[in-house]
Amino acid sequence: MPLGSKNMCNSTRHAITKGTELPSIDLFPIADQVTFKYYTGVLAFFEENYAVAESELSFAFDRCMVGGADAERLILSYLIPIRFLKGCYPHQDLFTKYPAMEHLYGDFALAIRRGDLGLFDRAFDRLQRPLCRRGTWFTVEKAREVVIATMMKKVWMLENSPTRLPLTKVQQALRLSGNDSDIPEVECVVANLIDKGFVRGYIAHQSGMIVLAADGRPFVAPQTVAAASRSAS
Amino acid sequence: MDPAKKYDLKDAVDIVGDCEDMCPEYERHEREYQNTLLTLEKIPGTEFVDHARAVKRYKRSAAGDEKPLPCDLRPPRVLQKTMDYLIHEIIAVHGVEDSHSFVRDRFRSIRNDLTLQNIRGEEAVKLHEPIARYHILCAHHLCDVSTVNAAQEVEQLRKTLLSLMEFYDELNAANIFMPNEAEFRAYHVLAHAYAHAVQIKFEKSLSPAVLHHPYMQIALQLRNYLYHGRRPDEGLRADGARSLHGRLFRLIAAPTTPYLLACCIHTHFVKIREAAFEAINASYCCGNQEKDEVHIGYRVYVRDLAEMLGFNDEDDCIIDLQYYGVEVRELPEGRIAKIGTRVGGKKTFPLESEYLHSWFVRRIANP
Repeated sequence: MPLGSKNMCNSTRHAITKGTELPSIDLFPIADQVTFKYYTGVLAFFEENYAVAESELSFAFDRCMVGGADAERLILSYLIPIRFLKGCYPHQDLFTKYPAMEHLYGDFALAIRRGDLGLFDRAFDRLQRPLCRRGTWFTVEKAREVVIATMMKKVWMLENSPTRLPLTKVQQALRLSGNDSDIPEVECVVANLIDKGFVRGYIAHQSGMIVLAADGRPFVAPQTVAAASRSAS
Repeated sequence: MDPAKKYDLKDAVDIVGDCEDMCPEYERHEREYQNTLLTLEKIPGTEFVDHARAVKRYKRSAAGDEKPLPCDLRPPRVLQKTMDYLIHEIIAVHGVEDSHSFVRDRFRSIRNDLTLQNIRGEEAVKLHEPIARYHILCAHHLCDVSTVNAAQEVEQLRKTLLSLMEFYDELNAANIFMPNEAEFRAYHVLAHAYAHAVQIKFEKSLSPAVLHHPYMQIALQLRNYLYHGRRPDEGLRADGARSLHGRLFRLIAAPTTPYLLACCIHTHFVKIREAAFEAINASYCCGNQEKDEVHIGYRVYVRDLAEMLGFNDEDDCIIDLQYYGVEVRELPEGRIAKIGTRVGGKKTFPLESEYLHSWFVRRIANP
């Protein structure tokens, strides 16, 4: 990694995990396993292979003890944004333990919990530099969609859970969050949410309505969406 | 130095060109003899070389070639002169389109001369920057010209940008900062907008000054809209990428977006629209398929789609729609697209498609 040539890592990794000459990685001392899992996890993260990244980094985080806080912070700086994509955010206890993580990701976690798009966008702009330095700015951006889905669900609940939700209602919510959008833009946002499985329903374009699944559960938890798209691919 | 002896690579001596003309003397006579001079290099009305107007052509290095002689290589000063000539007396006089194959080749030869002499500093940056801009312009502006292959233009652009990125990195390490660095790093982001590895690596390496440059901020915003909310586990497959197309095309056409940045993203239009059609297809309802009548509330007018996806006009949009097998129907109120049913397997457009182009020129060139 210090060389910055990530493309060379794959062959090494392949030799370690797939090679027959070497004993399995599980047989090595736990400290080495943690280091190895950390690096494979980070590699997977940069390859957008988030499922692998999550399991490798979780392994490293759960078993990492020697270096203590520094190593854990490093792992968390990748692990937290991965979990964001599934709509999961850390407990306040974790942030209290690692204030640096709270500084980086605290506002995003709150925004995801509340569906507060305005908070998310402000944090996204404010933290551009530190996140870029870690290489996670780009990944955090992808969680924006989760926030929008939550926001839309709140709108729906405020309207007493109708099966037909006017696009203008979503537009108002977007406006309140500082995203002044006209109807085609709102349609685009909603179309993406439906396409990806966050929302079950369809758009009646000409009447400006979102027609939602009538079974009372038109919103799908981000975690389920992530799992479904994983099994599909 | 004894040519038969082995030397350490770090003791290698860079060759220094001393050709004072735009084209080495040997090549001028050679090409006159071989009859490979272009009209722009001949004395008008004759088959003879115009010694003041011939420009060294690009020659791929091949096995068996002699090492270039200093008299065949142009030093940076002469290369600059050559470039000025090509820009001011060829492109400006003959137009981008007519001069394209000539200028493209001669620019390539300029880069090649720099490489052979291992010139990588400020001079190389100053010569590469206009070349990169030129390729961006051509990839967009000439994409409906049959003799120009936009994909090849993008290829040259990427090579030029790659060299530039290396030069900037090396200069930055020596604490030298070039004034246009942010602009070209911004092009680099967009030229590789779908290459995730490039994006991440690049994000980490940006200096604050470059990162906060308005050019870079617009480029990053475009990229974020382009990428907006890809499926968490979509992996590296770029064609599944969804974009926030509603915003994207607005931002592209906004007067605050620099022209060349917009040109840069134009090469991705096919992918953007394909993803947008997929999203629309998955989320819109076009009514009861059994009945022929489309319910008025479900109608998707082609004019709305054309507006949303930055098409030139309805007809442009229809060409795309038909490509994806979407039925278009004429109604008294306007044409509607029967989108909302699943279309067949994925197809991709050829990049040089004519219709991709015209909207752009009108909107961006004459805002």
